[in-house]
Formats: sequence, C-alpha cells, structure tokens
Amino acid sequence: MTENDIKSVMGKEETLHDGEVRSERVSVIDYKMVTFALAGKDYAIDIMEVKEIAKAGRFTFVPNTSPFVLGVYNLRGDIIPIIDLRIFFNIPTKARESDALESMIIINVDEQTFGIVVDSIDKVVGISKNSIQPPHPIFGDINIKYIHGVVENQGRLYILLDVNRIFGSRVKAAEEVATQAIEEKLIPAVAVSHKQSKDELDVSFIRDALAALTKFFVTAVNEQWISTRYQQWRDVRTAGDIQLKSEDDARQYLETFRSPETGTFWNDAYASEISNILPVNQAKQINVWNVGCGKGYETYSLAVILKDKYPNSRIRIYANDSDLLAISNAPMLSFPENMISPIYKPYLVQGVNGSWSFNQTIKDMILFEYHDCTNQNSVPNMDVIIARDVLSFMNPKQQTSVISEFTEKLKDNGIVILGKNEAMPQHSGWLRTVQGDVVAFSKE
Amino acid sequence: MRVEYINPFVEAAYNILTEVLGGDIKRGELYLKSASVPVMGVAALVGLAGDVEGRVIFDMDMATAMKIASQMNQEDLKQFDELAKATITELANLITAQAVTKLHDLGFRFDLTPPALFTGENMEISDHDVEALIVPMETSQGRVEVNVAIRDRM
Repeated sequence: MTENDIKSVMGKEETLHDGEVRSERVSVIDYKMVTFALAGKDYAIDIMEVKEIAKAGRFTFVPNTSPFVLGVYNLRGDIIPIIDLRIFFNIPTKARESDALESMIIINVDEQTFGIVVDSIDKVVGISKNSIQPPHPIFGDINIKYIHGVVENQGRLYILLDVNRIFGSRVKAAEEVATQAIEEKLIPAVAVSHKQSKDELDVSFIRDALAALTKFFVTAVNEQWISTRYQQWRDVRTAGDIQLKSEDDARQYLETFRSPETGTFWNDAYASEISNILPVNQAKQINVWNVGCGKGYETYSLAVILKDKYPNSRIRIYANDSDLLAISNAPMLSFPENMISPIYKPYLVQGVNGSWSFNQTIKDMILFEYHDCTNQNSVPNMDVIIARDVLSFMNPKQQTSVISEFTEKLKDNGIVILGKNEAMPQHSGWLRTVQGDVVAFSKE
Repeated sequence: MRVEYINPFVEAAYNILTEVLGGDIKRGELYLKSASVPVMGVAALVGLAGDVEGRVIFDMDMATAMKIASQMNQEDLKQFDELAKATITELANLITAQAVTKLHDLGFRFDLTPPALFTGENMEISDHDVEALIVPMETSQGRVEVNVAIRDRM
C-alpha cells in the first residue's frame, strides 16, 4: 500500500469518526430557540428569555423616546415598551401601514418585559448547546457585541442574539439618549472620547475585514492611511453601513490607497518627482530592486528615469513579482503609440506590426524574475528599492521580515520608495524625504 | 527565477512526457516554493552550470516511477531495478536537454551535469538561497513534479 492509499484510508476513518460525533451532538437537544426573520435573514433568541409571542398593532406612541421605541402596549393589563429591532440594528424597514398587525416576541430581561417587533416569527428549533459557534467580525448588519453565536440547523444559519446584552445596554442607551443633549454641551470631551472608542472599534472591524477579504494587512506601514481613510469613509456611508460586508466594499474602501500611476507608464509629472528624489550617485554600478513589478510598465518607466539620471553608470534593475501571469509578458512588453509620453521616445523601437517596445539598452538593464520576496532573496546590495503597495498585502510577519531584508540589502546612501500611502514604521531608523506624491526613506 | 527560463521547462516537460508516455498529460498550476523540498520517493536531479547556476529535480512517487518505466520500456517491470532506474534517469535527461536547447536558442548558455537518481522514503532536499519553481504534471501514470531552481550568476 502506498503512502497515498494509507492517507486516503486514514482520511475516511477521520470522516467516519466526525460523523459519529455529529450524530451524537444532534441527539442531545439541550437548547431551544425561537427563530425569526429580519430583512430576509434568520435570527434566533434563547427560548428561556421569551415569555410569549403575539401579534399586535397600534402601539401608543410615547414622545421624546429613541427612534427604535415604537411605543407602549397593553398586554393583558401590563404596560410594556415595544421596540423595533430593525430600527435598533439599522436594518432598512418597510414603511408600515398604520393599522397593520406586527409580529411580536415578548421577552423578559432582568424582571422587565419588552415587546420586540420583527418581520416574521418562524418556529422553535431545538439544538445542542455545543453546536453554537462564536460570531465572526465580518457579519456586518448587526454589531458583533449583540451576537451570542451562530447556529446551523437543517441547512439554515441562525444568528443567535444575546438579549441580555441588547436590552441591558438599551436601558443605559435610553438614559444616554436622554442626557446626551446636556452632555454634549457641558462635557464635550466625554462625548468625544465615547465616540472615539466606537470609531476605534469600527476601525478594528474594518482591519479584520480587509485582512479576510482582500489580504490587506494593517500595520505600522499603513496605519496612518487607514485612520484618515476611515474618517472619509464614515462621512460618505450611512451609520449602519460602515462595516465592510463584501469584497466589493473592501475594494471600495481601498480605492484611494493605490499609488498614482499604478500598472501603467508613469506620466511626466510623476516621473520627474521620482527623478528628483533619487540621490546623486557617482557609482559605476547602480543596483535597483523593484519588488512587485506586475506587468512591467512601471519598471520600464523607472529604467528610463534612471538612464537619464545616471547616464554614466551601469544600471541593473531586479524586477520581481509573484504573479506569474502578470510578469510572464514583461520581458517582451509591446504597446500602442498612444500609451507613451515623449520622455520615453528616445528609447523605443517600432516592431513589424506597428506596436512599440523598448530598445535593447533598456531591456538589458532589467532582469524580470518570477519570485516571491518573502522567500530567500539572492539580490546584491541595492542603491534604490522600489516596492509600491507591496508591503500592505503581506501579513504582519512577512512585512517585518521583508523590511529587515530591505534594511540588510540597502546600501548606506540608498533609498527605499514605498507606496504613496505607506511608510516605514516610525522610530525604526528611517529618515523620510517628501517630493510631491513620492516619499523616500533613507537610513539614519 | 528569470521569467524567460520558465516556459522552456514547462514546454519541454509537456512535450517529452506526451511523446514517451502518450495519453493525456495535464499541466497543473505553477507555483513557487522556498528552498526545502520534500521528495515523494524517486527523484532525478540534473545540475545546471554556465551563465546560471541551479538544478532541476524530477520528483514522483515509486508507483508512478514504476508505471512510467514500464510504459517507456513497453514491458511490465516488477521491481525498481537497473533498467527502471536508467529509464527514469533518461527521462530526466530528455526533458532537461530539450529545455536547455530551447534556452540556447534564446541566447542563454547552460551546461548540464549527468542526472543523479535518489530513491527512498522521507527524503528532503534542501538547497540554500534558491527558491524553486514547481511545474506539476498529471500523467495517466501519476503525478510528476518538475522542480526548477536556477539563478543568474552574480
């Protein structure tokens, strides 16, 4: 029997074993929950918290309460407050008809009775307590602190709400709302710090979501940009819509992150900024490391700039990318005439089919390599390292190791150019020089 | 690894395997591996020298090696004997030689070392400072991984 066979047999045993465990789990039902729907999604509440369910309407409006308090209701002689969970969680609600009956769950929290209004009540589901899984930060709609966990039952996922948290805080929240107006005038500092901590929480969720959805990792390299970006983001999105729920959201969030002139030939303005920031260097041999060169457009632009800046030196550009598809055409890159600005003209030759490519002098300067810079780097010592928007897409551990690699490979008079919104961690031995959109770092 | 080197190896592996084994050959997704390489059971290693330095490893498990050797000899080999070993060595030679010929046409100068064959359980080849390109090939005899690590001499 070969190793593979053994593995597959072992695999089967494991799954069998899993199956047994699962059937055991299902057989012990020690937790029941009432399930209901909000905006088409399934939610649940522990049945022990629920007193009864009812249908009612025409609640008596109480002035000067929070918007999620629909009013009060007379439940067989008890006056109970009615709360609309959809408004509470900032879930869009349908306009309600004035005399329609609403589905209500009457719950008991800390000896207080509440009625909560939901879209529809489904049924009672029995589950095993240990099948409740902890919530994940990217759930979105509802603030994570109100979620007790997630339960899967017969193919449906239920989000299990923590009623004590919701209504425990609701009592406080209502008080807060009442006193907020005064607070804001008298002690603005307190209000600000409260707001800040909420922002911090939001930002930390956004960090997690970015890492999960787009492999964008927030560290000292891009921290500053993230918090500035959050301010803008908060202003353009509505309150309930701040969290990133999909890859699309994450992409939108990162929209302004990209450095200028990404994936294309650099325009004159950007090229001259780069050229100005390059240090004077009389060395015979100049080595440049372009990490994350992509399709090669930026590398060729860089080659031309370097050729103009250091006409008497032998220049070698080591261009790496770990995306094979992008880099595989880079050595033979050809392009139509309208893509190029006059600064590149002297270095171009026209091919037989009318498209243009760079001449041999420029091509000989560049070595395109399919290489992942988180593996061992076997490049010589460098005068210039360009890694625009590369570090941010590595996990923190890789970032640290690549930055120390940069430190090791960079000559004492060399510079590192990162993305527009990236920076070397502060107080780590790097000096920054700014030239328009370009920031360069040199050793202290 | 230099982008120009990749295609010749992929093409050579595909062409030779199709030629000597017949049947359907599928190329898997290429990827990079950092230096330490575990070996599946049989590995043929060809060294490269010249403008570059590095090596190519052809890695497969014993069952695959037996089936490939049997197919190439048109007889059912029962054990991994001299003939089988020579056959796998020859396969490594064929593929590397064709890749090097292609690279020669592109203007790169390479020399080959004679292949060395390694067999055994739980082997690992570690070479310092070179990351390897893995070209997985699915043949009807089993999976063959071509593991190419080359760097330009500096």
